[in-house]
Amino acid sequence: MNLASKNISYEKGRWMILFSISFIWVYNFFQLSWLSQIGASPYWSGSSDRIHHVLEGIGYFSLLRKHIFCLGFIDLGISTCIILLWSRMFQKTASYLLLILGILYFITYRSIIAHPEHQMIGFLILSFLFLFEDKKLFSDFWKLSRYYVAFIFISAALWKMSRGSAWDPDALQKILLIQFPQYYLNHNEEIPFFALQIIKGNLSSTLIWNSVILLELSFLLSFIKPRWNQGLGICLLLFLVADACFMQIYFIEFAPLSLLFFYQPTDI
Amino acid sequence: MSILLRLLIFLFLLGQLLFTVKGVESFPFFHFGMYSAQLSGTTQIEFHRIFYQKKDITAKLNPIARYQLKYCRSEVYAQRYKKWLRYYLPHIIKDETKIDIKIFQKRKDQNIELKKTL
Repeated sequence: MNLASKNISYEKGRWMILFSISFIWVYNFFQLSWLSQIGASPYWSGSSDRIHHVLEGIGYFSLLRKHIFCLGFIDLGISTCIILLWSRMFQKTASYLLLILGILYFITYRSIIAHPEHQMIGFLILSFLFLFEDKKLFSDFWKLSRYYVAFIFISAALWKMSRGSAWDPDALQKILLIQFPQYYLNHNEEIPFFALQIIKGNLSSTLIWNSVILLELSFLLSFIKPRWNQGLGICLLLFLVADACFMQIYFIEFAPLSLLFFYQPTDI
Repeated sequence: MSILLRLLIFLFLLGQLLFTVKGVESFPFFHFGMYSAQLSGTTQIEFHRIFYQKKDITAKLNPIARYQLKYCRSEVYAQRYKKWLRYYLPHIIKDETKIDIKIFQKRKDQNIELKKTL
Protein backbone atom coordinates (compact mmCIF):
# COMPACT_ATOMS: atom_id res chain seq x y z
CA MET A 1 0.00 0.00 0.00
CA ASN A 2 1.39 3.36 -0.99
CA LEU A 3 0.90 5.90 1.78
CA ALA A 4 3.39 8.48 0.56
CA SER A 5 2.27 12.11 0.55
CA LYS A 6 0.17 12.83 -2.51
CA ASN A 7 1.74 15.30 -4.93
CA ILE A 8 -0.28 18.44 -5.47
CA SER A 9 0.30 21.66 -7.36
CA TYR A 10 1.75 24.79 -5.76
CA GLU A 11 -1.56 26.60 -6.26
CA LYS A 12 -3.56 23.87 -4.54
CA GLY A 13 -1.10 23.86 -1.64
CA ARG A 14 -1.48 27.59 -1.12
CA TRP A 15 -5.25 27.34 -1.38
CA MET A 16 -5.28 24.62 1.30
CA ILE A 17 -3.20 26.77 3.62
CA LEU A 18 -5.37 29.82 3.14
CA PHE A 19 -8.49 27.77 3.79
CA SER A 20 -6.92 26.29 6.96
CA ILE A 21 -5.79 29.68 8.27
CA SER A 22 -9.27 31.11 7.71
CA PHE A 23 -10.88 28.10 9.36
CA ILE A 24 -8.68 28.41 12.47
CA TRP A 25 -9.37 32.13 12.72
CA VAL A 26 -13.15 31.76 12.43
CA TYR A 27 -13.08 28.81 14.85
CA ASN A 28 -11.22 30.99 17.37
CA PHE A 29 -13.94 33.61 17.06
CA PHE A 30 -16.61 31.08 18.02
CA GLN A 31 -14.40 29.88 20.89
CA LEU A 32 -14.34 33.48 22.22
CA SER A 33 -10.57 33.46 21.72
CA TRP A 34 -10.08 36.71 19.83
CA LEU A 35 -8.18 39.20 21.96
CA SER A 36 -10.98 41.75 21.83
CA GLN A 37 -13.41 39.10 23.09
CA ILE A 38 -11.19 38.20 26.05
CA GLY A 39 -10.50 41.84 26.94
CA ALA A 40 -9.04 42.84 30.28
CA SER A 41 -8.68 39.44 31.94
CA PRO A 42 -7.67 39.76 35.61
CA TYR A 43 -4.38 37.86 35.53
CA TRP A 44 -1.75 38.38 32.83
CA SER A 45 1.36 36.26 32.81
CA GLY A 46 3.76 34.92 30.24
CA SER A 47 5.23 32.48 32.80
CA SER A 48 8.87 31.91 31.88
CA ASP A 49 8.62 33.07 28.27
CA ARG A 50 11.38 35.62 27.74
CA ILE A 51 9.55 37.35 24.90
CA HIS A 52 6.74 38.22 27.34
CA HIS A 53 9.25 39.90 29.65
CA VAL A 54 10.87 41.77 26.75
CA LEU A 55 7.47 43.08 25.63
CA GLU A 56 6.59 43.93 29.23
CA GLY A 57 9.91 45.78 29.48
CA ILE A 58 9.27 47.96 26.43
CA GLY A 59 5.81 48.84 27.71
CA TYR A 60 3.72 46.79 25.27
CA PHE A 61 1.56 45.12 27.91
CA SER A 62 1.15 48.24 30.04
CA LEU A 63 -0.03 50.05 26.91
CA LEU A 64 -2.59 47.29 26.30
CA ARG A 65 -3.74 47.38 29.92
CA LYS A 66 -4.26 51.15 29.73
CA HIS A 67 -5.93 51.09 26.31
CA ILE A 68 -7.65 47.74 26.19
CA PHE A 69 -9.36 48.60 22.87
CA CYS A 70 -5.90 48.21 21.22
CA LEU A 71 -6.40 44.42 21.46
CA GLY A 72 -9.03 44.84 18.78
CA PHE A 73 -6.45 46.21 16.32
CA ILE A 74 -4.65 42.85 16.26
CA ASP A 75 -7.91 40.96 15.60
CA LEU A 76 -8.92 43.48 12.98
CA GLY A 77 -5.48 43.32 11.34
CA ILE A 78 -5.50 39.52 11.07
CA SER A 79 -9.06 39.50 9.71
CA THR A 80 -8.15 42.16 7.12
CA CYS A 81 -5.06 40.22 5.99
CA ILE A 82 -7.12 37.06 5.51
CA ILE A 83 -9.73 38.96 3.49
CA LEU A 84 -6.97 40.53 1.35
CA LEU A 85 -5.41 37.11 0.71
CA TRP A 86 -8.77 35.68 -0.39
CA SER A 87 -9.39 38.63 -2.68
CA ARG A 88 -5.83 38.31 -4.08
CA MET A 89 -5.01 41.93 -3.31
CA PHE A 90 -1.64 43.05 -1.86
CA GLN A 91 -0.76 39.36 -1.46
CA LYS A 92 2.85 39.84 -0.45
CA THR A 93 2.23 42.61 2.11
CA ALA A 94 -0.78 40.78 3.49
CA SER A 95 1.11 37.51 3.97
CA TYR A 96 4.00 39.21 5.82
CA LEU A 97 1.59 41.23 7.95
CA LEU A 98 -0.43 38.11 8.72
CA LEU A 99 2.63 36.35 10.11
CA ILE A 100 3.72 39.37 12.19
CA LEU A 101 0.22 39.92 13.59
CA GLY A 102 -0.17 36.15 14.11
CA ILE A 103 2.98 36.13 16.25
CA LEU A 104 1.77 39.20 18.17
CA TYR A 105 -1.62 37.55 18.68
CA PHE A 106 0.01 34.32 19.86
CA ILE A 107 2.24 36.02 22.45
CA THR A 108 -0.47 38.39 23.66
CA TYR A 109 -3.07 35.62 23.83
CA ARG A 110 -0.86 33.36 25.95
CA SER A 111 -0.09 36.26 28.25
CA ILE A 112 -3.64 37.50 28.79
CA ILE A 113 -5.02 34.02 29.45
CA ALA A 114 -1.96 33.23 31.63
CA HIS A 115 -1.56 29.78 30.14
CA PRO A 116 1.16 28.54 27.76
CA GLU A 117 -1.18 27.10 25.15
CA HIS A 118 0.30 25.52 22.03
CA GLN A 119 -2.77 25.27 19.84
CA MET A 120 -2.06 28.34 17.71
CA ILE A 121 1.28 26.92 16.55
CA GLY A 122 -0.72 25.44 13.66
CA PHE A 123 -1.77 28.92 12.58
CA LEU A 124 1.81 30.22 12.81
CA ILE A 125 3.35 27.36 10.83
CA LEU A 126 0.79 27.75 8.06
CA SER A 127 1.11 31.55 7.97
CA PHE A 128 4.87 31.16 7.71
CA LEU A 129 4.49 28.81 4.74
CA PHE A 130 2.32 31.36 3.02
CA LEU A 131 5.30 33.74 2.72
CA PHE A 132 6.95 31.70 0.00
CA GLU A 133 5.93 32.61 -3.52
CA ASP A 134 8.81 30.69 -5.06
CA LYS A 135 7.52 27.20 -5.85
CA LYS A 136 10.72 25.40 -4.92
CA LEU A 137 11.02 27.23 -1.58
CA PHE A 138 7.36 26.63 -0.83
CA SER A 139 7.78 22.92 -1.46
CA ASP A 140 10.99 22.74 0.66
CA PHE A 141 9.45 24.60 3.59
CA TRP A 142 6.33 22.46 3.41
CA LYS A 143 8.62 19.47 3.94
CA LEU A 144 10.54 21.22 6.74
CA SER A 145 7.27 22.12 8.48
CA ARG A 146 6.27 18.46 8.30
CA TYR A 147 9.53 17.51 10.01
CA TYR A 148 8.89 20.13 12.66
CA VAL A 149 5.42 18.73 13.39
CA ALA A 150 6.93 15.24 13.60
CA PHE A 151 9.53 16.63 16.01
CA ILE A 152 6.73 17.99 18.26
CA PHE A 153 5.35 14.48 18.75
CA ILE A 154 8.72 12.73 19.06
CA SER A 155 9.94 15.28 21.59
CA ALA A 156 6.73 14.83 23.64
CA ALA A 157 7.32 11.05 23.74
CA LEU A 158 11.01 11.40 24.63
CA TRP A 159 10.17 13.78 27.45
CA LYS A 160 7.67 11.30 28.89
CA MET A 161 10.33 8.61 28.73
CA SER A 162 13.10 10.69 30.25
CA ARG A 163 11.06 12.23 33.08
CA GLY A 164 9.42 8.97 33.99
CA SER A 165 5.68 9.21 33.30
CA ALA A 166 6.11 6.68 30.46
CA TRP A 167 7.21 4.03 32.95
CA ASP A 168 4.42 4.64 35.47
CA PRO A 169 1.57 2.16 34.79
CA ASP A 170 -0.97 4.46 36.50
CA ALA A 171 0.28 7.71 34.92
CA LEU A 172 -2.84 8.34 32.84
CA GLN A 173 -5.16 7.63 35.76
CA LYS A 174 -3.25 10.11 37.96
CA ILE A 175 -3.24 12.75 35.20
CA LEU A 176 -6.98 12.35 34.68
CA LEU A 177 -7.68 12.74 38.39
CA ILE A 178 -5.87 16.07 38.28
CA GLN A 179 -7.56 17.02 35.01
CA PHE A 180 -11.01 16.14 36.37
CA PRO A 181 -11.02 16.83 40.13
CA GLN A 182 -14.82 17.06 39.98
CA TYR A 183 -14.67 13.27 40.29
CA TYR A 184 -14.18 13.82 44.03
CA LEU A 185 -17.44 15.79 44.17
CA ASN A 186 -19.29 13.05 42.27
CA HIS A 187 -19.91 15.36 39.31
CA ASN A 188 -19.23 12.45 36.98
CA GLU A 189 -21.53 13.75 34.25
CA GLU A 190 -18.88 16.43 33.54
CA ILE A 191 -16.18 13.83 32.87
CA PRO A 192 -15.82 12.26 29.40
CA PHE A 193 -16.98 8.64 29.30
CA PHE A 194 -13.57 7.12 28.47
CA ALA A 195 -11.76 9.23 31.06
CA LEU A 196 -14.22 8.13 33.71
CA GLN A 197 -13.69 4.45 32.83
CA ILE A 198 -9.92 4.88 33.27
CA ILE A 199 -10.34 6.69 36.59
CA LYS A 200 -12.63 3.93 37.84
CA GLY A 201 -10.20 1.28 36.61
CA ASN A 202 -12.59 -0.27 34.07
CA LEU A 203 -10.24 0.60 31.21
CA SER A 204 -6.53 -0.12 31.27
CA SER A 205 -4.62 3.11 31.96
CA THR A 206 -1.30 1.43 31.08
CA LEU A 207 -2.48 0.16 27.70
CA ILE A 208 -3.84 3.52 26.58
CA TRP A 209 -0.93 5.54 27.94
CA ASN A 210 1.62 3.27 26.23
CA SER A 211 -0.37 3.42 22.98
CA VAL A 212 -0.26 7.23 23.12
CA ILE A 213 3.52 7.19 23.59
CA LEU A 214 3.92 4.69 20.74
CA LEU A 215 1.72 6.85 18.56
CA GLU A 216 3.94 9.86 19.31
CA LEU A 217 7.08 7.85 18.63
CA SER A 218 5.67 6.61 15.33
CA PHE A 219 6.41 10.08 13.91
CA LEU A 220 10.04 8.99 13.68
CA LEU A 221 8.88 7.26 10.50
CA SER A 222 8.45 10.65 8.89
CA PHE A 223 12.25 10.94 8.83
CA ILE A 224 13.11 7.39 7.82
CA LYS A 225 10.10 6.09 5.87
CA PRO A 226 8.46 9.03 4.08
CA ARG A 227 6.33 6.63 2.08
CA TRP A 228 4.15 6.20 5.22
CA ASN A 229 3.42 9.90 5.59
CA GLN A 230 -0.32 9.62 4.97
CA GLY A 231 -0.51 7.07 7.78
CA LEU A 232 1.16 9.63 10.05
CA GLY A 233 -1.42 12.21 8.98
CA ILE A 234 -4.08 9.79 10.22
CA CYS A 235 -2.06 9.24 13.44
CA LEU A 236 -2.05 13.00 14.01
CA LEU A 237 -5.82 13.18 13.64
CA LEU A 238 -6.23 10.10 15.86
CA PHE A 239 -4.13 11.77 18.53
CA LEU A 240 -6.36 14.84 18.45
CA VAL A 241 -9.52 12.72 18.67
CA ALA A 242 -8.05 10.80 21.63
CA ASP A 243 -7.14 14.09 23.32
CA ALA A 244 -10.73 15.27 22.94
CA CYS A 245 -12.22 11.95 24.11
CA PHE A 246 -9.99 11.38 27.13
CA MET A 247 -8.79 14.80 28.24
CA GLN A 248 -11.50 17.13 26.90
CA ILE A 249 -8.71 19.13 25.23
CA TYR A 250 -9.63 20.26 21.74
CA PHE A 251 -6.63 20.83 19.50
CA ILE A 252 -8.73 21.80 16.49
CA GLU A 253 -6.14 24.44 15.47
CA PHE A 254 -3.64 21.61 15.11
CA ALA A 255 -5.76 19.49 12.77
CA PRO A 256 -4.86 21.35 9.52
CA LEU A 257 -1.24 20.38 10.13
CA SER A 258 -2.20 16.86 9.05
CA LEU A 259 -2.30 18.29 5.50
CA LEU A 260 1.51 18.50 5.66
CA PHE A 261 1.56 14.69 5.87
CA PHE A 262 -1.22 13.96 3.39
CA TYR A 263 0.12 16.19 0.62
CA GLN A 264 3.38 17.50 -0.84
CA PRO A 265 3.37 20.38 -3.30
CA THR A 266 5.72 19.89 -6.20
CA ASP A 267 7.80 22.69 -7.65
CA ILE A 268 7.10 21.65 -11.25
CA MET B 1 17.76 28.10 -1.04
CA SER B 2 20.05 31.02 -0.19
CA ILE B 3 22.90 30.75 2.31
CA LEU B 4 21.16 33.20 4.65
CA LEU B 5 18.02 31.08 4.70
CA ARG B 6 20.05 27.93 5.40
CA LEU B 7 21.83 29.73 8.22
CA LEU B 8 18.52 30.86 9.73
CA ILE B 9 17.16 27.31 9.60
CA PHE B 10 20.33 26.01 11.22
CA LEU B 11 20.13 28.62 14.00
CA PHE B 12 16.47 27.82 14.60
CA LEU B 13 17.19 24.10 14.86
CA LEU B 14 20.08 24.75 17.22
CA GLY B 15 17.94 27.02 19.41
CA GLN B 16 15.06 24.56 19.43
CA LEU B 17 17.38 21.71 20.38
CA LEU B 18 18.92 23.73 23.20
CA PHE B 19 15.56 24.80 24.63
CA THR B 20 14.15 21.28 24.30
CA VAL B 21 17.08 19.75 26.15
CA LYS B 22 16.84 22.43 28.87
CA GLY B 23 13.07 21.90 29.07
CA VAL B 24 12.19 25.56 28.92
CA GLU B 25 10.04 27.50 26.52
CA SER B 26 10.58 30.88 24.96
CA PHE B 27 9.06 31.98 21.68
CA PRO B 28 9.82 30.75 18.99
CA PHE B 29 11.32 27.72 20.72
CA PHE B 30 8.59 25.57 22.18
CA HIS B 31 8.76 22.86 24.77
CA PHE B 32 6.48 19.84 24.48
CA GLY B 33 7.08 18.13 27.80
CA MET B 34 3.51 18.28 29.10
CA TYR B 35 2.38 15.33 31.23
CA SER B 36 5.91 13.97 31.33
CA ALA B 37 6.54 14.36 35.07
CA GLN B 38 6.07 11.29 37.20
CA LEU B 39 3.24 12.00 39.64
CA SER B 40 3.58 10.75 43.16
CA GLY B 41 -0.12 9.96 43.46
CA THR B 42 -2.91 12.17 44.62
CA THR B 43 -1.21 13.53 47.74
CA GLN B 44 -2.91 16.91 47.55
CA ILE B 45 -5.36 18.33 45.09
CA GLU B 46 -6.84 21.80 45.15
CA PHE B 47 -9.46 23.00 42.72
CA HIS B 48 -11.96 25.76 42.18
CA ARG B 49 -15.68 25.59 41.49
CA ILE B 50 -17.82 28.52 40.51
CA PHE B 51 -21.46 29.01 41.51
CA TYR B 52 -23.95 31.41 39.99
CA GLN B 53 -27.20 31.92 41.88
CA LYS B 54 -26.14 28.94 44.05
CA LYS B 55 -25.87 26.67 40.99
CA ASP B 56 -22.55 25.08 40.02
CA ILE B 57 -21.71 26.44 36.55
CA THR B 58 -18.03 25.41 36.34
CA ALA B 59 -18.73 23.00 33.48
CA LYS B 60 -20.22 25.84 31.43
CA LEU B 61 -17.00 27.87 31.50
CA ASN B 62 -14.73 27.73 28.48
CA PRO B 63 -11.01 26.88 28.93
CA ILE B 64 -9.93 30.54 29.08
CA ALA B 65 -12.32 31.31 31.94
CA ARG B 66 -11.13 28.14 33.70
CA TYR B 67 -7.45 29.07 33.36
CA GLN B 68 -8.18 32.41 34.98
CA LEU B 69 -10.35 30.86 37.68
CA LYS B 70 -7.47 28.87 39.13
CA TYR B 71 -5.67 32.12 40.05
CA CYS B 72 -8.53 33.15 42.37
CA ARG B 73 -6.89 32.99 45.76
CA SER B 74 -7.65 36.35 47.31
CA GLU B 75 -10.81 38.41 47.66
CA VAL B 76 -9.36 41.24 45.55
CA TYR B 77 -8.53 38.95 42.63
CA ALA B 78 -11.89 37.17 42.92
CA GLN B 79 -13.73 40.50 42.58
CA ARG B 80 -11.76 41.37 39.44
CA TYR B 81 -12.40 37.91 38.06
CA LYS B 82 -16.15 38.13 38.67
CA LYS B 83 -16.32 41.54 36.99
CA TRP B 84 -14.36 40.28 33.99
CA LEU B 85 -16.54 37.16 33.73
CA ARG B 86 -19.66 39.28 33.39
CA TYR B 87 -17.98 41.05 30.46
CA TYR B 88 -16.51 37.88 28.94
CA LEU B 89 -19.44 35.47 29.29
CA PRO B 90 -22.51 37.72 29.38
CA HIS B 91 -24.73 34.89 28.15
CA ILE B 92 -23.98 32.98 31.39
CA ILE B 93 -23.30 35.73 33.95
CA LYS B 94 -25.72 38.65 34.17
CA ASP B 95 -24.91 39.86 37.69
CA GLU B 96 -21.44 39.39 39.19
CA THR B 97 -22.67 39.86 42.75
CA LYS B 98 -24.42 36.50 42.52
CA ILE B 99 -21.18 34.60 41.87
CA ASP B 100 -19.48 32.49 44.54
CA ILE B 101 -16.09 30.90 44.04
CA LYS B 102 -15.32 27.92 46.22
CA ILE B 103 -11.90 26.36 46.66
CA PHE B 104 -11.89 22.67 47.55
CA GLN B 105 -8.96 20.63 48.68
CA LYS B 106 -8.15 16.99 49.21
CA ARG B 107 -5.14 15.81 51.16
CA LYS B 108 -3.89 12.24 51.08
CA ASP B 109 -6.37 9.78 52.59
CA GLN B 110 -8.79 12.55 53.44
CA ASN B 111 -12.19 13.41 52.16
CA ILE B 112 -12.72 16.47 50.09
CA GLU B 113 -13.17 19.64 52.13
CA LEU B 114 -14.14 23.23 51.43
CA LYS B 115 -11.11 25.47 52.02
CA LYS B 116 -12.41 28.91 51.17
CA THR B 117 -15.34 30.77 49.61
CA LEU B 118 -14.63 33.98 47.73
